[in-house]
Amino acid sequence: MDRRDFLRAAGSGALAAILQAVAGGWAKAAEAGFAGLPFARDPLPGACLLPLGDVQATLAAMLDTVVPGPATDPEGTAGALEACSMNILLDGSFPFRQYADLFAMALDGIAAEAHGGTFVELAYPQRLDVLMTAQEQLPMLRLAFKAVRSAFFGGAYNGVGLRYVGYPGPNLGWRHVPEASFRVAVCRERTDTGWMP
Amino acid sequence: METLDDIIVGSGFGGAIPALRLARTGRSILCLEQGERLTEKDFVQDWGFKAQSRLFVTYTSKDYHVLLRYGRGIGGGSLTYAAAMLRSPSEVFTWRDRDGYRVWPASVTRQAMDPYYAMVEQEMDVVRASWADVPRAGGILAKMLDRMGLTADRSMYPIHDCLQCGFCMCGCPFGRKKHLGMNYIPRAEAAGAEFRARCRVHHLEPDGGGWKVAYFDPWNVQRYARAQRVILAAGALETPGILLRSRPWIPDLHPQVGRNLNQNGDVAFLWRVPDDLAPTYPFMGRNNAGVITYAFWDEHRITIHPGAGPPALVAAMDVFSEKGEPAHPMGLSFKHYVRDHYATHLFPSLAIGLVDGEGTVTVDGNGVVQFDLPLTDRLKAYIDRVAGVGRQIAEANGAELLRTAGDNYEHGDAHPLATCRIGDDADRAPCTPDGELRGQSGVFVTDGASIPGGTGVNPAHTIAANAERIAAVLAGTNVASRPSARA
Repeated sequence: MDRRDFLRAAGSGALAAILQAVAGGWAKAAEAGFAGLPFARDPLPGACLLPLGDVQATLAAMLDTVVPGPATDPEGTAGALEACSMNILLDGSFPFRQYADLFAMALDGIAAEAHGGTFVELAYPQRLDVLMTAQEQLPMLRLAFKAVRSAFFGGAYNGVGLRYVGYPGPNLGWRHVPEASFRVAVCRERTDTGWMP
Repeated sequence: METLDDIIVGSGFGGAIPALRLARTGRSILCLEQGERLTEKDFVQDWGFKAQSRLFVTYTSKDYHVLLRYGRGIGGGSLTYAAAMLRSPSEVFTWRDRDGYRVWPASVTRQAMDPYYAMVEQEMDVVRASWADVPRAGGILAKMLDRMGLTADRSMYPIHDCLQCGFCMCGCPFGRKKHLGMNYIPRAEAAGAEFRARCRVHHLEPDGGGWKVAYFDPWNVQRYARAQRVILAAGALETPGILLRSRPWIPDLHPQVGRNLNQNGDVAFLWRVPDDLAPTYPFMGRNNAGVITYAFWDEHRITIHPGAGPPALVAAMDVFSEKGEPAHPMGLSFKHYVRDHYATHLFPSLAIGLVDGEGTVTVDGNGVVQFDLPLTDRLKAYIDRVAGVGRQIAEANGAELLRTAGDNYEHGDAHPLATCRIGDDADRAPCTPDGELRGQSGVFVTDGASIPGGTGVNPAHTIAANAERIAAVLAGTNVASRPSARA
């Protein structure tokens, strides 16, 4: 059964049977922190774009500072680069591509002034310090950081970030998982209708 | 050139509802929609940018601090809304802005709106969530309020037999969440209305007693269609955009078009709950997590509802802790913090309240819509008030409120309103109480742009009811009998 058939079945009367069959397993997975749940597939996987020219290393270091990957994270887990977050900066459908050179220049400029080296030469704590300063000077950069985080944690190009935080991804519904709802009234209500008069 | 009785621009709540009501009177209706025609089989459980860009249009403010987005596709925002359909409290309709101006027309009260709310509820089959429908995150907020002796109410939704998959805002792939493509639109088509996808309207031109609508068809060829009346329902950013692009042909356009942009008082934040309330499982259940509290309405004119959201919602916010961890939303500590807390101890919430609309929509030299939503002192004070309420709830429960950083408050991204607002004052409001653009007989606004101020709750229901109200006028009255528009 492929995913399309899976979803189609979910919309039909077969749903209850499917859910009953898998709910037990999901409940166990829930107890285990969802670590074992597979992804149906990565969200619309695509190729990672790479920048051209000498800004490549600077932008890559920038991404690896916003969401550190194996090169920086002692735990060795995936980061923004592995999540293809560079696409955010280079894909023309986002407003960052035309600023990529500017971003790199700004980071190198602040790095030189504050720490006496280029951005890529700095250690992680210093790079983080440079980014904090840079985003105050370039509001566009703050938005770019937000987009990079969103791409990693939201699975914009692949699922490495989703898996990292334990997000189970596509599913047939959690209705039959006991932990999904308290199922009973847990609070007094102010209205009889759900809305105020 | 095609000639019709009415052309409607946009097929969300503001467009689909007049389409049905007018088609049933026998008028010829063409509805132009920039997005695609999507059905359940097109919806995928995918927060990725490619899938999302098919469903949403996103705009960035001029200072890059605010993102606003709304849905596109036949059915507009209803395809991807979180589906809370709540009537606005009475006080919304008597709200006065900083100048003492009553933003809603005196004739449009909650009592006057109730019949139209009821029509929408009937067409869309809106029901109240049961406690079993309330996701865990919603139940946790309700428990927190209950411990304080406060109340939380189960919300109303056009959702039946929900599977609680957590992907409402990707479009429900199971067909359990009712969108306009399941009720108003097929009924309008059955009555003869045509909905045309992938058609982007550029501007309007007066044309003898009617209007020409200039649009780009799916092959990017510019075309014109002509109608006696034009109903604009392209959203609170594109509706004024269309009018502002029309200025060469409408030199006397009302000067308030594009002004008063209101973000509905949306303030997003996160809760980090203590172990005795964990786990939160914020990915389980409907995205609008089942309950809303009116406990702070009387004193602050604020409502709060919890969300069940994807990790991107958490991580994209510039979250910081007032207690120091995470100190800023990037780097190793933030990455580890989200991993360690997302699934078990965090859930997002949205406060909605009454604020003045102080933003502006313009178009640049290429006709592209721009907006500005400054963080004014008044807005800052409001956001601090919301934070104070949030902190009060958190501290009473051993939880923590995670705010958004510095002056870069997360303004909320889904509820822009009021850029072509209705109102009694001809100088302050571009549209008459019946939605007609002042000075431009035969042009009406029926979407969120016409809603004159914050709605206190999620605005979809009030936008829909207001569209019903204006559609009732349009269905029974022709342009010649509307002298108010020429005032």
